[in-house]
This record gives sequence, C-alpha cells and structure tokens, in this order.
Amino acid sequence: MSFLLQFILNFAIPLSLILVGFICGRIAEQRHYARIRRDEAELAHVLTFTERAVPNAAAPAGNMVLGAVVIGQDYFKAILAGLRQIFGGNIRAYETLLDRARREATIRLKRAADAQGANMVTNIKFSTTRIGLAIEVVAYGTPCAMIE
Amino acid sequence: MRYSNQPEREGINAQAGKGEGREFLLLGASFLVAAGLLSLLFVRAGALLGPLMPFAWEAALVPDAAFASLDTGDERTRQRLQTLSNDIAKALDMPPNMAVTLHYSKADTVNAFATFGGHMVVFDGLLKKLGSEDAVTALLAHELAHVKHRHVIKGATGTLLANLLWSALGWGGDVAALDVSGFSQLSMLSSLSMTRDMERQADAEALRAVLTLYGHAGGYFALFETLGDIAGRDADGLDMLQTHPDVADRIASAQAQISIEQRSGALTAWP
Amino acid sequence: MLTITNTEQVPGFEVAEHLGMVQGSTVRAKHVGRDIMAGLKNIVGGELRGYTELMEDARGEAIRRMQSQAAALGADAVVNVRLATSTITQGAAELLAYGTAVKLKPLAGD
Repeated sequence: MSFLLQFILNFAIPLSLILVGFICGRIAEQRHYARIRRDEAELAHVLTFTERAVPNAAAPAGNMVLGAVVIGQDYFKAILAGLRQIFGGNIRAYETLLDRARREATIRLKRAADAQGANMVTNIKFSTTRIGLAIEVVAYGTPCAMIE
Repeated sequence: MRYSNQPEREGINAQAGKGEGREFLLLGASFLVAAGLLSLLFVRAGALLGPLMPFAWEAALVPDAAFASLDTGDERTRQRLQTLSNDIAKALDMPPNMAVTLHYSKADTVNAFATFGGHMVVFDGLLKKLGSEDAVTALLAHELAHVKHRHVIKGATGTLLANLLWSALGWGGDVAALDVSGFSQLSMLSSLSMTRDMERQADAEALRAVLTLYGHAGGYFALFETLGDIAGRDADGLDMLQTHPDVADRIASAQAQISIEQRSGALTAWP
Repeated sequence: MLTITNTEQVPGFEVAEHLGMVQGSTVRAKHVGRDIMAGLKNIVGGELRGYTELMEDARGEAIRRMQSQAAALGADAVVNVRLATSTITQGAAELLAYGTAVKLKPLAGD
C-alpha cells in the first residue's frame, strides 16, 4: 500500500501545483494585461525614442529616468516551458512573461518622465536579467520636453 | 516633423494564454510516452549487459561470510534442502559451473529468495507453511530458475543502466524544471514489468522441475495456494505496481500448460 | 521590406514622421538532443553550432516581430535598432529587438 501511496503522492502534488499555477497564473496575467493596456492609453502622450537626440524638437528636461519590473513565472508556465525545452521551439509561456515585463517597464519609465514634466523619453535602452525564477526588465532613457 | 506614439499591436510578440492548456497536454503526453519507451529500452538493454559478466565473477562478489548473520537452522534440514536443490538443478539442466549455495534460516520470516552469486536463502517461517516436500521443491525450483537465468544480475544492471542514462540525460539536457523523480518512477515501472516477466519464466521452470521429479504438479499448486493465502492479507490492487504477477494468474497459466491428470497427486510429507 | 538600421538616419532619406518605439521579442529553445550534444561539447570546447543556430534564429525572429510591429504602424524604417539578450532558463535564448519606427521621405536633390 505504501508503494501505491508514494506513487500517488509523487504525482498528485506536482499535478495540483500545476493546476493551481494554471488558474492563478492565468487570472494574474489577464489582470496584468488589462492594467498594461489602461496605463499605456493613459501615458500615450509621453513619446518614446531610441535615438540619442531628437533634432530641433526637444531639450533635455531633468535626470535620467528608469522603469524596472520583476515578473515571476507560475508553476504551470515553468513545467510547460520545461516540456517545450525538451521538444524545442518558441517558449510561448515565457514570451508572454517577457512581453508583460517589457511593457510594464516602459510604462514605469514613461510615468517617471511624466512626473518630471517631460513629454518624451530619448535614447531608451532595455536590459533584461534573470533573478531566481523570475525575469527583470529595466528600461532607461533621458526625459525631454518638446520645444514649441 | 510629426510625432506620435502608437499603441502596441497585440499578438505579435506574445499570444497571451492562447492554447497553453492544449500545448501542455500535447507536450506532456508526448513526453510521458517517449520517456516511458526510453525507460523500457534502457532497462531491457541494461538487462542484456548483466549476463556478459561470467557467473564465477558474480559468485566471487558475494562471499559466504555475507550470510553469517543468518540464524542458521538445524543441519539435517539444511542437508535435505541442499539435496533437493541438487536434484532440481539436474532437472532444470543447470550449467555445471553454476554452483548454488543454500542458506537455511530458522527465523519465522515468511520468505525465500535468490541473490547474487547463486546464493539462496530459505526461512523456516515459509517452510512451515508449505507442508509438503513437493511444495518446497516448487519453491526451490522457482528460486533456482532465477539463478539459472541470471535474473538477479539482469535486474541490477537493468536498473543501473536506466538510472545512469536518465541522470546523463538530466545532466546534459537541462530539464531542471521537471521533477526528476518522475523519470525514476518510469524506470521503476519498466523494471517491475521486467521482474514480472522473470517471475513468469521462473514459474514455468518450477512447474517443469516438479513434473520431472514427482510425475505430477501437485506441489506447484500447493505452493501457490499457500502464497495466495499469505498475499491475500495485504493485496495491493494495481497490477503494474507489483514485483510479482497475480497468484491466481500464476495458477491459471500453469493449469493451461499441463493436462488435468498432472494437476494433482500424492504429496510427500515435510518435514 | 522595411529598412532596419542601427544609425539614427537612413542615407539618402530624411525622417518625415516619428511613430514611436517598436519592439520584438522571443524566447526559444532547441530540442533536448541538441542540449545534450552541447553539454558534451562543453567538455572539449569549440563552437556549439546548435546554440549559434539557436541565437541566430531567435535574433531573426525578434527582428521580424519588431518589423511586423512597425509595418502595422505604416512605418518605412526602424532606426537606431538595439538588441538585448538574456536567459530565463538555461538552454533558452531570450531576445529583445527595439528601435524607433519612422516614415521617410527622400532628401531633396540639388
């Protein structure tokens, strides 16, 4: 009997963790995307550039701004990504994670620029790092104000 | 110069939540099937390697002293068991270089087993329950068959190779996100399926030996009725998790192999 | 095809309109067989062709996605493109490509 019990325990615990991860992770993701879309619309007036300077249009306004966020995966995504790594191909479970982190970092960057009274951010750069089982995305740039 | 800030187009960089459940089920099922087949392959391939080791080397690994701690029973019974074993070995056409060493323990443990190097251990607890020499012969013949077919070393090398290859796979391909205990479970299921095949082979040999020595298979059925009584108290249910086939199946398959007249006959007393 | 450049200007053209930052990202992995081969190759050293291929594929995919984003905005080019790489898990490539989507007009010839 102990044999059967051990067998069930070995599979029942990970399976229930996967189910919890699937449900909670999906709810969290949907909420986050709703928040991202709302914030993006709210901060649409802050323009973004990867160029070092936007000629004849703007003057630097304030110090460098940055937006950073760390987003964790859920158990379901971790297992799905593990399976995907065995077979190869796009790890879509992590692509949404990266997409969310990148957009959230941009929102925070724009918000920081907005707080300084800037309406553009130039020379934006991204960097991503792994922190434990989560990813961190940092976006940084120089806030500018349009001269007009 | 005009400046604008367009909203991000969705669905290019990420497809949030779309088809993830289906992807998981598909990949998970494919993985389990592939891993199961691999485990089976590893275990069976490992079993092929075991018998490459000469029996003499295997015997040298296990000195008699290893069994010194057994509570040895009386010499007369041990002699009788050894004589029976020698007769069975002849009936089973054991290769002459396969010497079987019999250890008889007077402990009440209800068990008997064969291990590396042709060592067999029989406990008095089981002998007392058998009641006839025929049944004891069936039991010894079953264990001798394990020795004859190198089952012990096959089982060991099968499990060893499967575990080695799984850990090599785990080391080479980073599958850290997946619980490695899952793989050992799959290897274990494969090992169990192999041990059940070995038990069936040993059963067939035991049946043959009993028929040769007594002219009928009464001892064989007496043995399994006793084993069935013992096992009945802690039956586990799921066949795929058992080391041995179901007792009823073992009796039925033996009945199918012989004529009705051969199924019973006069039993010799034990002790 | 959309022009991709990591300079701020496209030679022969001037920027007519800025459409904002566009990004493309992807996370990719090779199948476990390639990972095992790479693991073994790491003992003796040398180029891990499987992983070179993986990074190239992922970079290409990230740039293609960035182009799709820009094309959806009606852009002619993406200027000042940058690439960022990191690893979420071992054996997987995470690529981010980003730049500014612009509309171009030819420089007035003299």
